Amino acid sequence: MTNEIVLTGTRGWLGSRMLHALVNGLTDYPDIAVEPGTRLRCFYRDGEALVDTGLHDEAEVDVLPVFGDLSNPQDCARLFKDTDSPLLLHTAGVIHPSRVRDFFSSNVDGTLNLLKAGSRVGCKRAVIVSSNSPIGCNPSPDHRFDEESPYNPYQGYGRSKMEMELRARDYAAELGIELVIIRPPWFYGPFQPPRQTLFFSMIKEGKAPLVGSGLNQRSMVYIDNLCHGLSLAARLPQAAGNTYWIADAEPYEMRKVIDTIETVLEKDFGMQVAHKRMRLPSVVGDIAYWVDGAIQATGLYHQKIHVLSEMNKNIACSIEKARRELGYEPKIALREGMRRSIAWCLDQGMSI
Amino acid sequence: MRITAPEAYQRTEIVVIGSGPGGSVTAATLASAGKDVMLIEEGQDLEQDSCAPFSFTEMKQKYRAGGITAAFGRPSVAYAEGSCVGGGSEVNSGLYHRTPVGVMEQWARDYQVDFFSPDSMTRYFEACEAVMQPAPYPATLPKASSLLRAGAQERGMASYDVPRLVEFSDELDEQGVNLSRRRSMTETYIPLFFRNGGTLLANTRVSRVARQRSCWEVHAIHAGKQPIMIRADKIFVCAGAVHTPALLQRSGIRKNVGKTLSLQPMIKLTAEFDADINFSGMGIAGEQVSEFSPELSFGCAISSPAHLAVNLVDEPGGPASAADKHRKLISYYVMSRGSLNGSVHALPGFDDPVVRYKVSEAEFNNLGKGVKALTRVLLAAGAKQVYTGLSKLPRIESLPETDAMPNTLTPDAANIMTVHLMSSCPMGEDKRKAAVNSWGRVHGHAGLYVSDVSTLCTSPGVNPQGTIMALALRNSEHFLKVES
Repeated sequence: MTNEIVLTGTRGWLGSRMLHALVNGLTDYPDIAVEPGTRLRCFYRDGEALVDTGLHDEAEVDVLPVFGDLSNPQDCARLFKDTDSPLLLHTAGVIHPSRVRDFFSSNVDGTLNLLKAGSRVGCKRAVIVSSNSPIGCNPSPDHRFDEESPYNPYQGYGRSKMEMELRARDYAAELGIELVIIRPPWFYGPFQPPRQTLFFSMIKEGKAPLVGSGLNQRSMVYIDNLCHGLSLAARLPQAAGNTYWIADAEPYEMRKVIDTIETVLEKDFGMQVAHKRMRLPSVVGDIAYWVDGAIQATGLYHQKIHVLSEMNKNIACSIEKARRELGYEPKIALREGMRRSIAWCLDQGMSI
Repeated sequence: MRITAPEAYQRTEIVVIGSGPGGSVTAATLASAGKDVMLIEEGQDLEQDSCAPFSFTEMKQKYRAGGITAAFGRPSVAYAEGSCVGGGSEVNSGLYHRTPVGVMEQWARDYQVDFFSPDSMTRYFEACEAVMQPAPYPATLPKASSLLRAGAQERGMASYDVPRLVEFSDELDEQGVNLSRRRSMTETYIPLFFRNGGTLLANTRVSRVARQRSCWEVHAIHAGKQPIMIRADKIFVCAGAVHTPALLQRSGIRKNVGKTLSLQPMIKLTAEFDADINFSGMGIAGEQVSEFSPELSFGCAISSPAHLAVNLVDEPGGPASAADKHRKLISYYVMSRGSLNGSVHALPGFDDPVVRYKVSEAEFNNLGKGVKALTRVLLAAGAKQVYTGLSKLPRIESLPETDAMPNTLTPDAANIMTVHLMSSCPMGEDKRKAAVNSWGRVHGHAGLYVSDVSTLCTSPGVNPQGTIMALALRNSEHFLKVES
């Protein structure tokens, strides 16, 4: 890996975990740790608190926070100031904004500003994190997306990520930057935001929404598996110009996801669980989909309706290309990942 | 390879729809990079030598609807479009200009065209010029040119011989001018396309394109009756300023498509001289007066008997006198730059879209000023009389008479026509105005591109073929970079 790295979205779930991984390595993936002497420039939005990397004063990795706004080209230029041929790890992205246009200003304009600023200091490679949403939903439960699957964007968020991918490729081609696009599906693990903790509480209390049969397939990715994928994409020459799905080894049935969390809460942490589901007919998910679309058409965005609309959909991908070309091999699967996730929540003093 | 009997279902990597300068450059560039390309053309596949240049036969065979199409408005503007393999390049005069620097700067700024500047465009112009070899007359100018130049000089205006996309031979015509032959698409990029393994399907009209899960579908009618469907990974629409937006609209794509249409309104004047100047087979005169460019220009128009007859159609006995006197007659044009006052709307059930254009006050002013100035230039050049095309003063015989000519035109004062239509799917990243991105990809659609005159943000004020070709090359090279 080059010895200068620019990381965005540092305060975000993935960004903070990646920073931790770059500085300290991860238990399952010790190789992610950067070499001594590496300089890390970490982008924060104005007002965000710094991520505690646990670095001691004599550490040989230099971590420099930079504050600003990615939609401002000057701020992006400042982020790259005094760097020489850095690697860009772009994990920042708005997932649940209040307005649809924020998807575009942050996800699209921010990415292009970064590429332009990066090219001025000789950035050779940029790894950008997209999502499953530009590709939409699988036509059937046994179908798996691969990297050749066509765009079929899921609502405003999907369109903004599609635009980001397409325009980033346009820019990278003109600027001579090797672009690697990483598409992670739904991720989980330590450092999770409160919305995921709420999901655990709902399962414990028997209020987890099971929309339809729950037999629909969802790819998920444990956050450390994703960090491993990002690290490979950043380091390996053959990744240049490619797109990769990075997920756990296999997709999970939606009902199995809920069952697993319930089991972990009960068996591993000795909690009392209600063993109930809030069963909703599949049509609820369909209605939520249309309502979500209607709300987004007005330029607004409602997180819970959006999430509900995806609950009965198949969103499943194949990681074969990443395995074959990058040697990506996810070590953590659902049960262990959820156990660590819940342990982290409890460790942070959260109540589930 | 030419397909003359297509199968009902076909598969290819890339379909290019339309074989004019935009489509031919695109198809040839992509095929040269090893892509599997099928080029589809609505018109006939005819060699350049299938008819005499600038003849009636050429109009019938190679123009859409024999060259008689009109944009609604007051006045309605008659327009002519090529419809054959090679498109407009097979029928035009081949006048070559690079895009004016100020126009490129304006597009980059006003439409947010990324990575687009006069400097960055130079290499694309140079690459197209290496193939097309635009050249001015090597020695003697045609009489139509030298008369215009003399008249302009007399009136204190500069003019110059615009380079043309032709090949000059050493052989001379009866006025001692080097003979020339069009370097059209069928003589340049289409052969290049064939050499690189491209497939041409002519006589095939695309009705719509549709996105399917794993590819695009092109639905078309071959030879007026046989429905065919071609599946492709990527589609480039290069069907011209009228038919590109119409095709996109028929395919359900409407955002900023066909909402703006620009054309360069033009009035033809015909000068009658005492001496025999014209003769059948006279080369195209490329002389242009650029005194007022890019807002207004004038120069020599095609003056073959067929074109003279059309230009004099409103004169009493005009077409007949054009035939009688054609040796003494030369047509000239006045051309205004054109605004974005037009639109294209596809109508369900009709093959041709509704084309509207409103000539603006500024353009009426330009045209009025131009007709008057050109009439004076032609009289200074020794014309016995000038057929102005104006309804009130159809003929002017002396300089004092020109004082009575209006300084601006009114909608019913003249016949306005055009051969340059553009800007119906403008490019850029400003999504309020642009239909396609900085390299022609249709906004919001992956794998669908436009690469023709439609993407010019505004009228460049000069003959647009040079701009079209350079942009098509730029778009294709960018596409190849992104795809590799």
